[in-house]
Amino acid sequence: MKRFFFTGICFFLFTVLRAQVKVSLHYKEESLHTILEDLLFRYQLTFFWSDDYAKHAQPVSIDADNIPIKKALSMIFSRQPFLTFSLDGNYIDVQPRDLYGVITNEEREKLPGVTVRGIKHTVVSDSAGRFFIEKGAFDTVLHFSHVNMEPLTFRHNGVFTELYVMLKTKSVYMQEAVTTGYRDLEKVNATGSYAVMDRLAIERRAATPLISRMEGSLSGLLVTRNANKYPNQPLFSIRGGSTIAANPHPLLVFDDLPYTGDHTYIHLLDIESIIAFKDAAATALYGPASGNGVVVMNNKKGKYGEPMRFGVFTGFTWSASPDLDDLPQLSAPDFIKAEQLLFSLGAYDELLASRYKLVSPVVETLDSNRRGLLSNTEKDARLAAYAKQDAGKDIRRILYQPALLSQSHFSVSGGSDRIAYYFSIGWDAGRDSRVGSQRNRLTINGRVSCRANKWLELTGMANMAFANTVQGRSLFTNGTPYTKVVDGAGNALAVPAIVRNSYKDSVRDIFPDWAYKPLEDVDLRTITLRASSIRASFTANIHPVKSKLTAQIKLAIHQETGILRDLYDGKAFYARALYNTFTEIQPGGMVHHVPAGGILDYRTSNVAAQTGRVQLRYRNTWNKLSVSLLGGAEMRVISTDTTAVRFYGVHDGAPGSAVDEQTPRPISYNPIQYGLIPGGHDQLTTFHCNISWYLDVECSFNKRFVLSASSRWDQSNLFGMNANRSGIPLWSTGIAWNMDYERWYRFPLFPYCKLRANFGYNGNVDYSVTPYATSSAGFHNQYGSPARVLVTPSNPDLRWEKAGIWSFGADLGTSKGRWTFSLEYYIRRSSDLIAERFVSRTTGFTSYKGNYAKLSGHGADISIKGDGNLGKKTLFGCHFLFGYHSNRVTHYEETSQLTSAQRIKKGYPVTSLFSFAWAGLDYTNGDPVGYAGNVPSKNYYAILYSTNDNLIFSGSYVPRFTASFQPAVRISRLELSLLFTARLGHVFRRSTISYSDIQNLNSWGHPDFKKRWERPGDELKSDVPSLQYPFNPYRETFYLFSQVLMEKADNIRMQDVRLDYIVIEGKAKGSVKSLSLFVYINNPGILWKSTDAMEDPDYLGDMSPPLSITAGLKAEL
Amino acid sequence: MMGDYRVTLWLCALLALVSCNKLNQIHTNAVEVPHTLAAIQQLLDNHQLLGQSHGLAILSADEVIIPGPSLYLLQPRERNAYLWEKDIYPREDAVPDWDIPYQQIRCANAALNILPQLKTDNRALRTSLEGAACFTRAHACYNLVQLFAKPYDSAEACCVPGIPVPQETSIHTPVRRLPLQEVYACIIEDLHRAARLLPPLPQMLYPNRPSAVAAYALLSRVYLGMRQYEKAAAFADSCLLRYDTLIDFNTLDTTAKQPFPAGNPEVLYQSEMLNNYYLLGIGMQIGLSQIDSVLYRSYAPDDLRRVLFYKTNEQEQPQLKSSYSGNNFHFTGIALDELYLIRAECYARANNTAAAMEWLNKLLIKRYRQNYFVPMEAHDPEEALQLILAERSKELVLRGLRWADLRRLNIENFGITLRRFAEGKEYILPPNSTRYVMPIPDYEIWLTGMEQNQR
Repeated sequence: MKRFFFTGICFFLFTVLRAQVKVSLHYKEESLHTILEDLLFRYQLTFFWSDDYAKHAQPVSIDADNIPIKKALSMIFSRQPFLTFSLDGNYIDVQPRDLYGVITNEEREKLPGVTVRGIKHTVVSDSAGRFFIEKGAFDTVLHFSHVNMEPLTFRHNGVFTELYVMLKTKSVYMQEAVTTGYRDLEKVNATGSYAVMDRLAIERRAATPLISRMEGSLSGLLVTRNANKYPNQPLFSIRGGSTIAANPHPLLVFDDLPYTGDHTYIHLLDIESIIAFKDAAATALYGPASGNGVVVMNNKKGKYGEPMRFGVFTGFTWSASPDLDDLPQLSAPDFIKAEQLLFSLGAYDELLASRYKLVSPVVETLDSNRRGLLSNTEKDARLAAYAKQDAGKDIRRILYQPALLSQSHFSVSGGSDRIAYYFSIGWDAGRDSRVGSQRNRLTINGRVSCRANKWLELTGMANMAFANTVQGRSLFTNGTPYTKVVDGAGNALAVPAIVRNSYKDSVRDIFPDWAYKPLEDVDLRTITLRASSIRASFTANIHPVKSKLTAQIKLAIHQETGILRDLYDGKAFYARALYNTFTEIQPGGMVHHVPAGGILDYRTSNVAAQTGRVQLRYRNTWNKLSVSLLGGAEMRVISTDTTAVRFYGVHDGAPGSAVDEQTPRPISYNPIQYGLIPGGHDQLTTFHCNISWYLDVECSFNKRFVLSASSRWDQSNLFGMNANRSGIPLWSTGIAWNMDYERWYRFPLFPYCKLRANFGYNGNVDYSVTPYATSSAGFHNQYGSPARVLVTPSNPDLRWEKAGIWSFGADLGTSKGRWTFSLEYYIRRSSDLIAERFVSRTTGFTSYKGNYAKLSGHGADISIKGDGNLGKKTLFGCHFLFGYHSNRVTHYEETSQLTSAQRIKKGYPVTSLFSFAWAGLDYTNGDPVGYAGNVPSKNYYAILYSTNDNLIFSGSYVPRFTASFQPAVRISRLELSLLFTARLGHVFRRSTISYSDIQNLNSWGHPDFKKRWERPGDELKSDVPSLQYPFNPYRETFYLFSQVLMEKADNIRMQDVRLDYIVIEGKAKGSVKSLSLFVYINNPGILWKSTDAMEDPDYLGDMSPPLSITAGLKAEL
Repeated sequence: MMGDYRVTLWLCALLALVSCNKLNQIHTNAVEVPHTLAAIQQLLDNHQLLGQSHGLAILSADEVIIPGPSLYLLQPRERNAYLWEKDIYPREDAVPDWDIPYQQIRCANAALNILPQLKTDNRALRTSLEGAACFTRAHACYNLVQLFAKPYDSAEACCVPGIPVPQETSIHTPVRRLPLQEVYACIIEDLHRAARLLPPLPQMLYPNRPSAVAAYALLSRVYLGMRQYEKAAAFADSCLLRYDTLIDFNTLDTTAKQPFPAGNPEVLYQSEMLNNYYLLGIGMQIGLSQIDSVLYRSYAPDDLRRVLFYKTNEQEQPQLKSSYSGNNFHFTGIALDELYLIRAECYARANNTAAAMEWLNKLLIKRYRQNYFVPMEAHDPEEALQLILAERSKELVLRGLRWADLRRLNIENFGITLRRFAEGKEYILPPNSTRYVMPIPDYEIWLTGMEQNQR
């Protein structure tokens, strides 16, 4: 209840004159109200009084005579901490004092934007850190809060001067305010799951590509190392991906807009932070491209009012030459033994019956011996000579070298009151592990923001990258392990290729040069790639003064061009071989269908993207409720243009005559075969247009509860033949509960605690599908008319892929944010997934892609990060990540009757590997035995083709569990950090011997050859089937896909080591503000793997990545 | 604040307007939605696809001998068809004799689907393209039905399963085998439509493009296969009245490697043997496969076809010299000589011996050495028919027509039994055997559940 005394207003007009009235006051410890009433009574001075003044008023003692009323009141109120007055004629207005103060951080830097909440009023500190509460003195308990600062509750007992409030900076954990590309998102308000990687983490893994840098720093990220071995696998995915045949790549966002193009053109030192958004909460905003997660790269910016700073980075990397001995293959003597054995079984008889079919020198020797052209001693001598030769050594020497790379990066940033800028230039140059290779890249970046006036900020940005690559040497064929490439005198030696040496000799008159000499040939092919990427964007931020509404207009264009030039010299084996192959001997003479000379493949690719966005944001706070509303429209147009042309008969760069690539031509060495001259003509242009509308709402009640919702409507030209398929509405909604804001929350161990949950839909799109029947032109028929083929059938029902995700998370933090824990769990149900489906051939097609499959998945991410002191000058830190991801196909139409060990099957993960059950080796002859139904069987045909029941699910080729551990310790000026990664719960198919590969010279064999079954009893110690001729392809296929070759792929490796020496650190003055030197060692090696197989499960069929060492310095001037 | 809203609303509206218009017009481009007459013409000019026919039919008929040493060169499918095995293509992923004709039908259907939607001034071109598409579909269907369905017998044609005949472009339409009678009805309807729409005469420069004459010729062939000889005769007449140019073989160079000119005026529609059958194709020219020696010996010494069609190798084994169309690939299209033979056969069937022999001799006089030809004579229609059928196999060798003839004639109790010796075994194909019908590929049965042929 409030009572108001409101007297004497009618006296106003004639009491003005009494302002200079003099009074005499004598009170001792009298209440203020009594004195004022006395004044009213004695001097007709009216006054304003409110009930609640009484408890803030202090007793007054005054002893004065005949002093002006104003002076008297000053004396009375001078001892009142909470009350003040104003005198207007004979009217005394008693009012609470104004409350004002300055808020700073520990470094006494003024803090703008701090919310100061009293009992009645809430204000925000201004740019000078000042806050002002009009008549706010009664708010004796003040709460100060700010996203980056520890909250503070302040009780004041009346002050006469300014309040000085110092807030403590929050731990890193609570500080993060990230951008989603559309808006800033404060960590307290986030309802979704995301992981952030800061500048230091990005810079830590020097000289590695983006994907390696993210590994071990972003939770939920999965790097698929063997991606190229499996269908539709991205190099990295977020939470394991959610598609089968459509685009599997996460969306990359750069400069707040989706980045179309090759991310290697972005210099990673220009990136301030990388954020991975994992669920639907943020990604619903990104629309249909976000189904596999979003990775936002925030570029570095200059800051207003910051002095000019120069950044310098320079580094030099050396990588060891790859080790060919890592590959499982047979040595020369073993390979010769295998060939002798095969020869004795007659495996080469059919090849030898033909004049031209390729056999190795050993087989030719054995054949000559058998035909009596070569004596036994001579034969043995030759074989012994071959056995001593090591082709691998030659190949290593002519192909490989240690890779070198030097990197430099300079940046300058700063700003005045009106302008903030950041410019950088980066130059990388070096060579790969292939001899003759070269690469360099120049990146130039600039970003300027300008506050044009009080309500308009303009930002312009330009990124340019120019890259030149020369690919190094490569071989046409590897030959055999004993075919020397170079003789003792350094002369080039011929290696068997395409047709047999004896055939080449026999047609010497017709085809003068059929010989393949790798040493001469390696430098006759040059592949160069010149690429450039130019991107420019323009942003206008409109923020009318005092308006709660802001607007943004953003436009960007991006153009990426690549020109690949692959030139075979006329003397190159490939060119000569084609010339010879397509020479037709006719009665009138020879007809060369391929002109003599070099071959030039020329491929240009062009990606042009234009993006425009208009958005409005409204923010307001009503007492305990703050609301942010964001809405906008976005349009993206992406056109690509790829053209490939092949020129034959190139002499000195001048293209030769045209070649008919459509008419089958006789193959010169095989009289019953026709073949097409390989054409390199291809032209493809695509055009994609997306229009989207989006709305994003965030409400926060009392900072405790946050509700968020976003929705987006997308239209694309890819879809939409049937009206209801054209657009896709994506939406998400989430809730977060900042438990630590609750009054009852008192857990001293975890002063920070937050729970969050959200649900929403992601979309995904496959740019290779279209609802329309498409055709492809570009060739002519025999009568010279242009012709065209149908490529895809029309599928009017085609629509977007959709993934519904439930996501839950809890974040905990210890005091001062020393340790933070984040636990996340998600469930994902994807439907309408695009999958290939076989159709009746009566449609004229074999298969087509449509929305057929469903997938469900779930998983968890754990992130633990902490640091602390171990003594005065010793600091430690660590970052532990753990991820579990699993999925299962819930709907898929099995559309092939044929058994295939790598397939998509309902009820199993998309990334399944299947194998055939194994019943050991037959003890009589070493045949592999499998199961047909439940019965052991050697009917390989039946095992392979009868039903799918013979297939055993062996596991997923993508790790189900990933973990990384990154400890760091700093002692004085020395900092050491390590990264360990573990990839667990997956399987791989190990390589083994394929006897027909030895016969066909397809490979150098496999050491398993030595373990093969040779006599009864061997089946007890070996799983390698016996060599039998004639080969039974079904037997070989069965073995190659059998259960016995499945191996666990779990492994733990030490990923890298980094040592920093900090010479100068954090100096505010002087020309060098910081300087550090570092050494970074990448790929030290595997620590543990669960398999005994030779291969590195992460790099199947390939060599493990070589050790590389980078040394460099980083400075700020 | 109101101002802000308004500006933005306008901007959004503008953005939406510009983009939506564009959205509806432009699609992916070089892999292009065919939407012009030129594009349809290109689809139908894809001779590499549309100009392929017959493979298994030639292998399974009695014109070709594959000697023992070459047998192992055959692909399993070729070997099984050659030896009339029960199972021809065990679990093969692709059977060109089934797949390729359906791809041709798909092309035709796409054209027929798109053409009516095109706005054009060039009505003539649109009409002829529509006709060409109908012809293509009929030709492909006819070739399929000769392999994968029983021979046409009017008594049972209503109830015997034929083949699926896709009429639309959708991939979702259920696939089922139409009764044989309906299949033939579709073929005939398409050909009548084609004859109405197509330009009347063949274009010498573009033998791959059908004409009305070709449509009549194919109709005649179809009715002959249905043993409706009156209609066959009528359409042969329709064709011959409009176009009648036989080559006199005396004008050709018998020593030439390829005696027939590339622009052979007898060719009404160009088609070549399916190009997966290497041993029949190029293999025939180098002696890996041979012409049946009985057939070869049946040519009279003065018969120019003996030297123009064949050459002999060192072992005096006959080899095919070159194709009727003047290129390296076996001609399996439609040519005028076939119509002469149809005309003659139909007269014989109609018991008009004189007319039958007249038509036969009109053809043969151009095939024999000048002045050495003695016109053939027959005393009754039966004898005339025997003569005509013998000439038919000599004239139309390796055109893929023999298989259909065997099926047709055996229904009429000609009792032709085929025999082969291979790998020390004798293989026999008795008349009217179920093995005159090829099995439908397993993958098709598996996907669609359609009825398999008894074999």
